[in-house]
Amino acid sequence: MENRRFRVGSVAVLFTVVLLCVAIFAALTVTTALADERTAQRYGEHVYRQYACENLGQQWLAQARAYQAGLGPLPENTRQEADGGLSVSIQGDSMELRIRLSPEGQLEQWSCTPQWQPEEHWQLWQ
Amino acid sequence: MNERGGRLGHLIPVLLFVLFFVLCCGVLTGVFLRAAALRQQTEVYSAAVQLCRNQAEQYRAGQAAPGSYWYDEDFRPTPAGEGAYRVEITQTVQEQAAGQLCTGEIRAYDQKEQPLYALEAAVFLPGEEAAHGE
Repeated sequence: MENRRFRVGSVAVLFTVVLLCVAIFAALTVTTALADERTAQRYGEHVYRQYACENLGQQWLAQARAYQAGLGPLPENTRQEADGGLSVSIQGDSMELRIRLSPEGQLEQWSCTPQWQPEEHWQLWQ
Repeated sequence: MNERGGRLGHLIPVLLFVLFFVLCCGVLTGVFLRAAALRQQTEVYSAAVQLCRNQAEQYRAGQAAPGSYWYDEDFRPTPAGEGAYRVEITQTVQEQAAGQLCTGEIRAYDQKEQPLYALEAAVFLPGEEAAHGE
């Protein structure tokens, strides 16, 4: 009887350890899946913001070309360069688009970059 | 009789432990299944984002006309109605002083026609160019 109790207890301990290990793996799997989902959502939002900002750039391009052709006024926030070219910096939702048009209407710059905001509240080295 | 009762009494903790073990296995299986479903959703969403982005770039380059496009899981184009994803482009054209501003609304759907992701891509076409996608 004592032997039988001893054997059952060993199996119980073994199964408990196995359960604990599987539970840890399950927690890690769910954590990873949630992190992947958050990353995918953020990427989707980033792509949406980038295209929204570039769409504003296309609207500016339409107005700037009209201005260069003498068909419309100078678009807002547009800087006229010394050589006659036009440039603008469009602030989107956490994105910045810089465009530069040559006097002939050729695109010389079209750079859309996310605005990086440093975290200044963390004190990692103090 | 006492010996039989003793054996049954000895089996009760074992049965309780087996029940506990089975319950834990069920819960853990549910957790793994939930994680697998979440991962599948993430893969589908990421694929939709990628397909919309690709389609938006093709639209801007004038290589994608308004309409529906089907793709399989590996993003390969498939015949109409056979793919895992459908990407639809609808276009609005605004006449501008120096040309046309074409805006394409790009939407991705799964096989059940559930919307997955949407993107807007605009492109300005100078006056001498033909209407976009035509």
